[in-house]
Amino acid sequence: MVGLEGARESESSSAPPVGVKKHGTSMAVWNVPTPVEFGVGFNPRIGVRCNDGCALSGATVEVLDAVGKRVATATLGPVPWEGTKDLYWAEVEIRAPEDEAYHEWSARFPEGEVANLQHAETSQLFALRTTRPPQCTVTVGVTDAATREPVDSAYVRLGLYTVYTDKSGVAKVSVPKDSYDFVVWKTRHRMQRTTIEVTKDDDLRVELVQCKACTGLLP
Amino acid sequence: MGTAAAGAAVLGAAAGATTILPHVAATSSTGLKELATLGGSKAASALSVRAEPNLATTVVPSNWDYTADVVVVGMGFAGLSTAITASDLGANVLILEKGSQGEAGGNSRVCGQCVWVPGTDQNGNVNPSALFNEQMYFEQMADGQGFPTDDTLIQTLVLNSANNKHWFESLGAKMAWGIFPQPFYPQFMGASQVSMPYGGSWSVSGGTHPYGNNWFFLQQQVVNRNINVMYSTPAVGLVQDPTSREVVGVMANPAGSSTISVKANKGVVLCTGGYEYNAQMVRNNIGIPNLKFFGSPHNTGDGIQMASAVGADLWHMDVYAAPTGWSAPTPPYKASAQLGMPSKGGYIFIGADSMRFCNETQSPGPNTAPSPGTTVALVAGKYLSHGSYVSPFYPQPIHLIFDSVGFGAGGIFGGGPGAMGWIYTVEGYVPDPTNKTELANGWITSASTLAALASAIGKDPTAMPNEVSNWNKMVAAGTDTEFGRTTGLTAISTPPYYAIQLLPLIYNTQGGPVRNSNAEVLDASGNPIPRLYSAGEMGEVFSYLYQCCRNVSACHTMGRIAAANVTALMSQD
Repeated sequence: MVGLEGARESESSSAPPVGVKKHGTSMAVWNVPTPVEFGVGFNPRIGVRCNDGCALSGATVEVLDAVGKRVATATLGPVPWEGTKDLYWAEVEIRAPEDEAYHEWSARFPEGEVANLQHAETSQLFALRTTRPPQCTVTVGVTDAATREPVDSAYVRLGLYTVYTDKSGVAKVSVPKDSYDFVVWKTRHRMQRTTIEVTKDDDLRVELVQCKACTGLLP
Repeated sequence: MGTAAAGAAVLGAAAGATTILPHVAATSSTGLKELATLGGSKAASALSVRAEPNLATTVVPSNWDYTADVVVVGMGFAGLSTAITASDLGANVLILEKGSQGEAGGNSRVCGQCVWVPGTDQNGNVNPSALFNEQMYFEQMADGQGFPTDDTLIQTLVLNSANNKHWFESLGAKMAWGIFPQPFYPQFMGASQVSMPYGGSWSVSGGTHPYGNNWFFLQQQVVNRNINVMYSTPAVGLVQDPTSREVVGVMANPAGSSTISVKANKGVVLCTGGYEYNAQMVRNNIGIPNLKFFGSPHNTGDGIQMASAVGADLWHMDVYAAPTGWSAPTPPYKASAQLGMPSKGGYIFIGADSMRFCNETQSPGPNTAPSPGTTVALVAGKYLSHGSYVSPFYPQPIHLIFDSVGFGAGGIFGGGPGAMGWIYTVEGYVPDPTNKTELANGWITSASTLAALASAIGKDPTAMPNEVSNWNKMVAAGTDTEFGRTTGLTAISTPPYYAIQLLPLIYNTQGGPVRNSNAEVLDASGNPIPRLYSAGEMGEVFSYLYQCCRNVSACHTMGRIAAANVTALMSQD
């Protein structure tokens, strides 16, 4: 499977002027947190690549909301993303919508002249899940069921909120009051999973059972 | 490299003898010692229906020809991962591989090799939020489209696949990160975490093979562990105890030999891949005629049929991953070449009625994620239509029509040495950049007039020239009023004219026996069939949509899970 470096690229959406060749482009959008607190700023990254390897630094990218209204712009930086040859990128500052909902936004690189050459437009959808501000902090302590020792780097999830335990086997996650799917897992351990109601700050203790052969899930 | 095992037993079908398989010395990474007498590879015919006498038997042999703790059927990524892990857990393992040594490995040998390591950036750091976003993305590919599947299995797959890079490194591999295409469904929740920087793919660096380095690396691990391999030995049936329903062994047909019985003291793990080259199964489950395939001609659904015969339930039989869209009849090769489009000149697609039926530049492609404003973008076998992902339609026979400008503009058939795909890597096809070889082979048809071309390819000699004329008029006007094509608006007007029959091209099928998160094969009641496991694309978790790289990593992950669970079983002996 070829990577972005050699991928077939999406077509431009408008015909080129006669006699002018347009370079194809492609886009990646990342660093969109899940979830994002409504009204709070977040910084997605937008990368654009020219099929012919042109340096796109200095070009403008924009973010559009679900109805196509521009909510942010940024300028592609001078250096490609680490590990890539020509994925020029920018970090955009955006304020999340003031509601608790799923949003479908898009990032766009408009057609135009960059590096003295015409480049085709490209765009990328991305999903954004906004949520209420946190109201409670849940502290989760994870220990080994047999040895009673703390389990570090255990995966802890409350709904959309995820974190790893630290070296002392503790993870703190701040969430709105609500009911959550609560999962604690580490490789080669049986997963603990239940539903919990969070109404106030709370301390939870979880014991993980080691299991060399198991997948980490309860039977 | 392996070392000779002292006192290694002679292997063979000794009458009345039950042979406990020793670890047999391997000679080199490319000269694996073969355990059965081989009369050359028993290559499957393309699109053949495999006729086998006994897919299952409840007659348990009193004397077995071979014995192992774990019998692994298939030597692709799933089989290799299973075998290596089971061996490392102390099991005596036997691999039954249908292909010859030069054709072993199924689709894994010739695919992109990329290892998906969810939630992990290019520096190897794991982000738990990114891991969960992967899970959400996965669930939307299935549940979100109205095809709910086992979310526990999805979660197992995602969380455990985060260990794939470490697993390869534990075997001694140096892993290199590479950027990966954007998520196919960028509007899904979690998609941005499937992208940069967590969506990269990892591959074994420093390999010497022009393609398939990950597969050859794992094959070498099998050699290093002296794991027994029987090449050219397709499994033909499972042996099932009639009382306990336990799967206790496998029947196999080594090339040039009579059927052998192989006892599995702990269990059998089926890793036989898909059914692309089984015409009857393709017809029954996918229903698209004339499909072409990227991968191994040995994928005839053997394991699916064997599992079904011992009571396995089947799922996702209609799911397939279609890649970059088009191939063509390419005899005498069994597998298929990827077709590009002429880089100059005009071209159109015409269907059975000699008419255009789509915007030709909205080409299928796994790297073509749908963007706002596009109307048709085929993504891994589905395209977005009116806000929903649907299966494409193919008004076959479909032909690509172009002229001498396109013919002379460079090779239309893509790929070549080192390119992904069985036809290049195993069969050795090298495209001719002048297209003349393909023309001589009959893969391209030509004629001096459009009417003559139409007659030659079975199209209407009046309607087809009219359609080209219609196209040329739209080009002159600067607008494709039929399908909104905006690029490649070039007339087809310079004889001679050319045609290539376009056939939909598939990477692989996803259907097979139902599997739970323990890699156990389930019956129709949802109960595990004792001692039967599976891994790989036969019965994968994808129930509707597919995202590239996941099959490969799922092979590693579920193979390791299968191995861990089967080796933990009590031995029959």
